Amino acid sequence: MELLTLALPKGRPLAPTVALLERAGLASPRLREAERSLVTVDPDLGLRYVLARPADVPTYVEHGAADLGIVGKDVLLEARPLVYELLDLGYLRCRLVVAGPAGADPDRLLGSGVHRRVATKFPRVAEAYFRSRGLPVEVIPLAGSVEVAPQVGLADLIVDIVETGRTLRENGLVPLATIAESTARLIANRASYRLKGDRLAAIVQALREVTRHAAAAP
Amino acid sequence: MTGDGQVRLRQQVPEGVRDRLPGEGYRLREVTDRLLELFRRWGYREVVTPAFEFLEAAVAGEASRPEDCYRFFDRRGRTLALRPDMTAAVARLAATRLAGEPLPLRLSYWGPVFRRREERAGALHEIWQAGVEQVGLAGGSADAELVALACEALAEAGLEGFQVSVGHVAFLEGVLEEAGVTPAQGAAIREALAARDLVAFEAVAREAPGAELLLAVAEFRGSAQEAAARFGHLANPRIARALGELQAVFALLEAYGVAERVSLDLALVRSFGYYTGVVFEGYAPGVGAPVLGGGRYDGLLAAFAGDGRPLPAVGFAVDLDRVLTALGRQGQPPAEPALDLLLVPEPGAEGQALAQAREFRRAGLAVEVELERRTPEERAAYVKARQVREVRTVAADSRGCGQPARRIPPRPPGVVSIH
Repeated sequence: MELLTLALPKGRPLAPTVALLERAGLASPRLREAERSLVTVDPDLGLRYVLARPADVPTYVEHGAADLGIVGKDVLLEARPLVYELLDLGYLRCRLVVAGPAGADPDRLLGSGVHRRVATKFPRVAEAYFRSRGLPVEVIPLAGSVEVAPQVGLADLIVDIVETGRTLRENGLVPLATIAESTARLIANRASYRLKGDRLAAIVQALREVTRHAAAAP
Repeated sequence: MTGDGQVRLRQQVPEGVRDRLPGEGYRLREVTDRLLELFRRWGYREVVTPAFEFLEAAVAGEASRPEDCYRFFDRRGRTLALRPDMTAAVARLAATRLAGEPLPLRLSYWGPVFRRREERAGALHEIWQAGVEQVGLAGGSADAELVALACEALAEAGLEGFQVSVGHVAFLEGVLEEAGVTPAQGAAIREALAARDLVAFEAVAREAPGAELLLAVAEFRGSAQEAAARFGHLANPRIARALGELQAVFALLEAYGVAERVSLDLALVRSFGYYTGVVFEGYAPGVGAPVLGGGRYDGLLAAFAGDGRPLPAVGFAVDLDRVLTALGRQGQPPAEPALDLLLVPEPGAEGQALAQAREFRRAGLAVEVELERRTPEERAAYVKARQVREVRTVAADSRGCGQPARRIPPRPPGVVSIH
């Protein structure tokens, strides 16, 4: 059987991703090993797993290095890859928000008259959001620690993902607007979707079953 | 602008276009030649339309949006557009200058089309295509010829493991009707399916009265007969017509010998607005976008005909760059033939070398004559870089050309120049 390649996000999203695959009967035992290699093959399942930085998962899938991938919608919104989005997997839940200093007037920060600076790891999302509202904006791309940008005078606002809101609070920020809700998605290479459709459909079905159960559970 | 900036622009090409270097240029033409020769064997006759047209012609029948066109003005201030699509141009030709010809018309074409694309860096705005349009026949037998020819075209191009998906515009429209979606929901569903964003599709579909039907259509996998058995009970004339036409197409594909290459995809949506019936796309391993796309457009020619007379038509275009990418991934892009012979005249033998080269070229060999005097090292480097098959020294007393020392294989068969 020809191997299907599955790109998985490494780091924090990996543990819940492996747990989901286990429930769906799609996880190799070797994914649980402490000394994981970045590429794992399970000939019995006919699957190859490639661990990639979350932002790289769509790239692997778009260019056919992987047939399928699991990645947050936030990453897809920023990368806008040419892939098919097959399934909402329901976990890695977070929000993409605009946040600003607590106590500042939100109407002023989000008003139409001011030219604001927005620090973010999501420059395309931020630019599209403000442009669609006709609000002039200067987007300042950062690779990390976005939440300190307002404190150090780098930006007036930030656009970032929020899970519990704790990081924002610790840095004296409050969410001002939600741009999008994000959950993990199953994505497919567009050619694989056509050429290996039956095998992909079986995997989609298995994941659909377990995410449906998870959604039904309290 | 600074002088540096001007130099930089002088040395670059704009976003969305690219140069074809030696080898690349050959490969593009070689694939084009093969396809046009195949189309000729199926009775399709080549036409050439201008690279730019009036904007009105380019956007007629929802073929393209004005904002997707590269636009400029003629001397009288009328708006011109680089052709964004070949189908509209050929439809114009068929509905006007070829209006008196016996039907069906079978036409083929090749060349670049030009589309502004905002969304992505690296996406080509100049898209090289080869394709066919068949004008004058409605119904499954005409559709089946085009689907079969699409399969043959991808095979002729040298692709392995390709697949052609076939859907029907009227089926999906009928389903949207039956599901009772609002116009806004319908637009959102079409957009989601065109991008195969099944998560967005499901979110909209679940809010529609006929959610179950919509989800069943998106998840359906099976043959045209199975589709008819599954959805034939719906008393909707569009669905009934679509299922009938799809069955007629698939029934003929066996005889064309391409049945195993073609699968039914009821949720297939193409981004052009002019399709009215069967639509199809071809996919090849290694390329995440369709290598071929087409379908039936029975309303488009009426947009060009003076009397508004509708004329059925169906066609497809092959995206040549995507085909070349797929061939490259497959590990067998068509290779440019090497230089067969380098003639190096000894001092005083320049005339003999030129005469010999003439005879070899007449015999079909690719021959260069060394016009400058190279050192042996320079020549060795050139022969290696250019992959010259044979080097011959021409002595001052030589006559005629004889035969090259090594046998040189003939050109690959089936290659016919279009120029």
